[in-house]
Amino acid sequence: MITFTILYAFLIISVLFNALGVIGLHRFPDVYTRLHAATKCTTFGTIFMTFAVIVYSGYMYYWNPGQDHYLNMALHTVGALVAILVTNPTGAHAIARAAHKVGIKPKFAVIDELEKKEAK
Amino acid sequence: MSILWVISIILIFAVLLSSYRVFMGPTIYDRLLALNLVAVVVTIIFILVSVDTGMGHYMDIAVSFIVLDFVGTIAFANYLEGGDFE
Repeated sequence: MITFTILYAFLIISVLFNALGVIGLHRFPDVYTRLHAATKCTTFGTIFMTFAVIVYSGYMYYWNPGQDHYLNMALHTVGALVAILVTNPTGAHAIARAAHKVGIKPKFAVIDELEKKEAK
Repeated sequence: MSILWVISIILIFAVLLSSYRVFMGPTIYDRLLALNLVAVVVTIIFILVSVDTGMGHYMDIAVSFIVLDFVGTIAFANYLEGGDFE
């Protein structure tokens, strides 16, 4: 029963952080802060969702030994997690770089170090 | 009705809420970012549906979906930046 408590805790953390990402997407003022909220929160939520799936499949494999599709499930989820961990920050970096290069300013920023560095 | 379906329905509502940013975003980067978030949340929904129903091929769909979304995001950001595709 402690297994399902851990499982529900992981699932609730995951859904909470995904919901925070969506709320941040609505509430923040410009594209850079929205990027910050959406990308980080969804990556963190996906990590905890993967933990939940691993705990569930390990529990089911412990009580039903010989059913290999539970191990298959855990391994595929780890593959999806690695894909998200590699691609999500890279995509966010590409979006921020494109936005800064076109000339969108951070809304409440008083100093822009990257622009000074590129002007040199 | 298991808890995985409840969580899937909550995440579908999150996708619908963030599609507001896709349609009404001030700049095109907001729309691209919202599409990226929708892709990640849809991947999580695919994983949950796969675990709940026991159909393993949904997991393959999830992995290929997030990788193809990455390729699309990089290509679109490069195009908006004015870069070339060499």
